[in-house]
Amino acid sequence: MNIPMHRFAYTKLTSDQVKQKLKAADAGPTSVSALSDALAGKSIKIVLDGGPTLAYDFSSKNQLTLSENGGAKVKAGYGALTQKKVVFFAHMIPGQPKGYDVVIDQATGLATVFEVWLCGDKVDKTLSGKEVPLDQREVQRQIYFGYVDKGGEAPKERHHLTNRWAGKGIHWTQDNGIETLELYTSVASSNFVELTRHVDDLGYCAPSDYILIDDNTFVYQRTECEFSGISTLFVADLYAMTQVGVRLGFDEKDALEYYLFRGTGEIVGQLSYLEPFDDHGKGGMVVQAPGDPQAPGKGQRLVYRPVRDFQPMTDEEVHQAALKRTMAFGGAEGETAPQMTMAGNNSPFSDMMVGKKITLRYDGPVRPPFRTGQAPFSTTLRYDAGGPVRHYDFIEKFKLRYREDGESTWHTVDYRGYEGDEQLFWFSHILADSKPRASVQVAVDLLNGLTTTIHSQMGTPYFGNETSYHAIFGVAEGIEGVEPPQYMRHQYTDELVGHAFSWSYSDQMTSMHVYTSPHSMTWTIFTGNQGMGAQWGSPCIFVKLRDGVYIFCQNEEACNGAEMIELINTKISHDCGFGFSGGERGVSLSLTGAIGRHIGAFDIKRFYGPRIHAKKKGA
Amino acid sequence: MADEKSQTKAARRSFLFKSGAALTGALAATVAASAKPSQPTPGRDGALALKLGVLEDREAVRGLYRAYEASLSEGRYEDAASHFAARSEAVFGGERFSGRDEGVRRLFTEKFREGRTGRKADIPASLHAEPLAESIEVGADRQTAKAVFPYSMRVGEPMDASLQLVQMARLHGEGILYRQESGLCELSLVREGAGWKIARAEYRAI
Repeated sequence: MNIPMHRFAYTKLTSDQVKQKLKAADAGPTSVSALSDALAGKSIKIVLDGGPTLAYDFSSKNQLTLSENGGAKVKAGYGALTQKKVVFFAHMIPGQPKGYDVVIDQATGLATVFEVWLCGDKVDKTLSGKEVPLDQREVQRQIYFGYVDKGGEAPKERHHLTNRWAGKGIHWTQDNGIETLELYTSVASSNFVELTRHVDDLGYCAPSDYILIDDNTFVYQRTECEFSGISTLFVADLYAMTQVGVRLGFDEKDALEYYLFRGTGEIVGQLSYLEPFDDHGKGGMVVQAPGDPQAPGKGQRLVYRPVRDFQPMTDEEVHQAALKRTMAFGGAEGETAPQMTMAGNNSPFSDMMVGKKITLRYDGPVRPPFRTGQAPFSTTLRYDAGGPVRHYDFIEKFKLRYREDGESTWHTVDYRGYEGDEQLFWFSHILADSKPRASVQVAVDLLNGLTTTIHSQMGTPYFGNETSYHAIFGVAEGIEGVEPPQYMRHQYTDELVGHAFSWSYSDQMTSMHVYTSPHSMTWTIFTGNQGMGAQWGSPCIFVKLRDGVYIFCQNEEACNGAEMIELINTKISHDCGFGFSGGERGVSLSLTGAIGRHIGAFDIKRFYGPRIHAKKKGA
Repeated sequence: MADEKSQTKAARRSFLFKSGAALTGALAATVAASAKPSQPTPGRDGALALKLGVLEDREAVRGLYRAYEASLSEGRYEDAASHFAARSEAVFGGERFSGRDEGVRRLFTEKFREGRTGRKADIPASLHAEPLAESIEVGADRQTAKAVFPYSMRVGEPMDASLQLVQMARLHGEGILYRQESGLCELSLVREGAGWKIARAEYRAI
């Protein structure tokens, strides 16, 4: 699959279509690994706190009979896998779009049961308060904790939610050849990179559950809400680094996936989790008031559905809005930063360029080659060439004039600039009269005669009110005593990949960035007690300016369309930069900057990049 | 500034003293008046019955306030509004909210809920030179009452929701700037049936 999941138009399957496709699940999940017969011939009753009582008779290793709450018995196909003392089994209920995934700890008799269903009739509430019916294909779940009733006294202990898994990263390889990189960087969400299903090594986020079975055994579940809606659930033994689990849902071709899997894993790192030491995450992420988003109820979970609130605009609509109002730096004068929430901890502005004149000469956009035609027999490689040349005259601390090479008139515009590192100037301004409305964020290395510009403009192939961006590399001429290089340039880098930083934009707003792949990142909002909470992710680029100094640029795609362009200086754990966005209220170039803390790193760079084995061809 | 503060304190002490005096006077006046709730008979027994009734009223008012305070503290904002009379008003942050089913309910179910305002907080001992005192004054006819209760609560102001990070924080109840506010909650109450309802509540932060 080479279309990012947040751009892929998953079919809005109807309830009838889902139910029809689910008939294939009546026979139970498939499995590459041999099914276990641990339950064959046995009868068990599972009592669940606040949930149903499930009475099972297992006639064989793939057939069972279930009675819920003493009701009529129904036959279903099932599959079971064992992992040391844990037996895990999964089944659907024929004729219904629901089933159960059951984890039994045979040593303690404790059980955790996921009731799973599709075709949910729940109406969810977005952040703007908009009520949206859930996609019929989105797998819902309700977690119950309980025990296997053996007739004696009920055990007092239960499995429970946990934050013990938080911050870990694991590379999993399943028995069916599927490889995923999973970064569990929240107590309510997780990142995953599909290393075999997708071609682009992009990280995505999904609402997730984490349950502690014992000191080294955990249950993890994620549902790819807002994407395919598919569910992945497994029990992991972190001593043996093995997993057994089930995949349920529909893929991008609307084909049913219902299979058990085994897998082996490798821990690739651990981020610090920042809750108080006496907080063990047992409470999970709960909603505190009925009026809040994600109203409580069966199946409630923290799901971020940003695109549901997005009001798409055409390129022309955005440009008309830009003509009415294009604002740089909030229209503020001088040192004032109007958006203190996102810039309260910004770096100071610099006047280091005042009175200087330079010319910035860029190569053509450096992009991966575009490939067209029917591979591999008719392949065209196409490279763009030729880049802009801009002459700059820094009149004063917040005002510059520039002209493109060949233009006879100068454009006078507001700018803001920082000294991002020693003699490294980082500034931004609107490109005057641009259509689509555009801005540039420019790094000028006064010691090396190098420059990189992030060209940011309104519009993507998807929405007029989303930004798009690209980096162009070149040289700075006119710096006294510095001869611009012929060959050396700033360049894309993966040096930040795997690292996580908290960025505190102000004392009121901190977000953790995890650089999940060379082309993607995730941001995570902390909860009140500094637990890692809501997440979302996006594609991004990284450019290395110097050792420890980078440009990081991302657009909140299929989200709010806003772009963030930061210069990250890891030597001082500070970033400074700009935001660029547009919509009904016009186009805005804003300021942002934050104090950082290094939260940890994952050793994951080695999983990315071209491989000698072809990936699975997708849709 | 210091003078203003001392004047405020003096005025508060004066008010509390006067409240006590007024209560005594009210009790005396009520001996002759007909008090509908318990219909006391004239004479010594009647005076005692009235005094007992007033004490019961004071306890009822105190209980009402505690229930109201608890509903705010626990985020049961609809319940908070239910302690008000139909024709009532609340003043919070200098803003007036009139009518139980309109203004008062809006104050709690919108403004308070948005900021998760109302969670009870301990009054820091260092905050006030003298401890804030509670007072309850039942009217002569025992149909109305006035009361003053010290309060200390968390007050929240939602952050700018146009910021994506703030919107996400709202998913788990964050994105709110909190402060602790202490002061006096001044109530006017009216009897409704066997119980009391709040006719007016005004929060005076100190």
